[in-house]
Amino acid sequence: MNGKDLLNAMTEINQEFIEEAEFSEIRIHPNKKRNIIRTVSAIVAVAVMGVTAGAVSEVFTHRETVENWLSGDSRQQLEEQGLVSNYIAENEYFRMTLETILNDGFTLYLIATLEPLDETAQEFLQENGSFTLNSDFYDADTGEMMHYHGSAGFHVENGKNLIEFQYGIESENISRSAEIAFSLSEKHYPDKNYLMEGLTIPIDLAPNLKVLEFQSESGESVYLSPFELYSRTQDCMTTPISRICLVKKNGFRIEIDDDFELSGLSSKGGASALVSEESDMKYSYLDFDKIINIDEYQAIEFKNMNNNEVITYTLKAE
Amino acid sequence: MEDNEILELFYQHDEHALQEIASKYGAKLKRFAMHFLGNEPDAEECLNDVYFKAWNAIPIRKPEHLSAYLMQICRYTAFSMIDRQSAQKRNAVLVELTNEMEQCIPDVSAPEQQTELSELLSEFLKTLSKEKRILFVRRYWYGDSIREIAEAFHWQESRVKTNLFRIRKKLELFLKRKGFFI
Repeated sequence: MNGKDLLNAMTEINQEFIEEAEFSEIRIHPNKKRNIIRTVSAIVAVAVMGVTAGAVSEVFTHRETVENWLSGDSRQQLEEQGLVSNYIAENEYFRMTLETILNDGFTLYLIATLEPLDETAQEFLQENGSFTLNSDFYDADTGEMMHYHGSAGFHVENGKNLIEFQYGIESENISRSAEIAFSLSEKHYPDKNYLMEGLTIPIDLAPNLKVLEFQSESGESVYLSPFELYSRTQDCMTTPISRICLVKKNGFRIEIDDDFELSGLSSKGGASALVSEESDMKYSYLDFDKIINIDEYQAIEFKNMNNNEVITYTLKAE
Repeated sequence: MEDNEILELFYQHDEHALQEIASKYGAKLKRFAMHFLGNEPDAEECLNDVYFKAWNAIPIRKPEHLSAYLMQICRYTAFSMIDRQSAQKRNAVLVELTNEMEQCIPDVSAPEQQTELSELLSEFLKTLSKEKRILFVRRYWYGDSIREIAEAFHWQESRVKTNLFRIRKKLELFLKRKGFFI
């Protein structure tokens, strides 16, 4: 199968979607405009308190942006927290600068910038506006290959060459240090793999973000991190869900489809479970398109699509 | 004339049905065909093909959304015409869209089951917010350029590209999870 097959298959999609896209006018929701100042202030405050919390990944995409908003001391504290990184990996073709590491113990989310160092690399980027990188994790101590679900992708945003990485972390790997090595798909980029040779990033797989556990009356748990909601068991998430609400401590409810972009698979169509190939563990997750302050929330409500029953998960006492 | 009335003409094999769809949808279909085919003679040929196919198919298929159905026939026909054309006439729009879609396909083989793939694509589109879904459909169904989408959404072009990139990544993951790739 190739991209053309996919494009052809698009012809027969649900006709409602074809008409929806024809007649709708898109209006930008004013609240979706990110308030960088507010978010950065929250991060600085949290760093001073010595509590790890969510970081705005896009703020730290560009080092100059970080230095515009944060004092040298604050930036240093965040670096110590592991939220801002300036690790550089380089070969003769590319320089990869790791800008941000977000790790909630379930998902590892990294952002790096990629600079071409010669004409060959420059040409490659100009010909390929976006592409997927294969990534392999190796135990830093033993060299043993580790298994990860996830992907890394290159794209251009605001004139910067970015790579976004997102990987699922197996709980048994949390205490390990790893190296990530990159390669290009042989299928899509034959004979181009030399461009990525030697580009490796060392990464500590220990979480650097605070996560809160919410529990149902029956003892099942879901976890809320600054950038996602997840469950390590299949019990709750495989129930078809029609609505998810985050309940703030002030009682205000935020339905996930309203304020957040639901970029996981568990949307109105129902929840999905992903089975790890290497283990029997099942897990589900919904990742947000913006960073939230998890300390604002006291409960999470899931509405069962089949019987409209609302199942409430309340914040578990630490 | 309302769509249900036009459909009724088709079911009765009344040739006025073709006049009605030409009158109501002809201009739109031709613009759509032009977008992919790039020239008027080919677009006209495509349009005539659409009417012919609609005449044969509608009484059997009984579509719920006439406009979308005609657009689907038009898309199919335009793509088939492009396939038949020589390499020198490769369509730039299609090449660009195809290259982007390639990123949704991992390094494994997949069964050539277009019907199943179409159903999965619809299922995937349901998981998206309305805004993201329209963005994706405008790009990969309607073939809109990044600039056209940016203007319609009142976004910067970079934001359109970033969002499309993320949706393509999600699609790749979705297809993998559905076991479509072996």
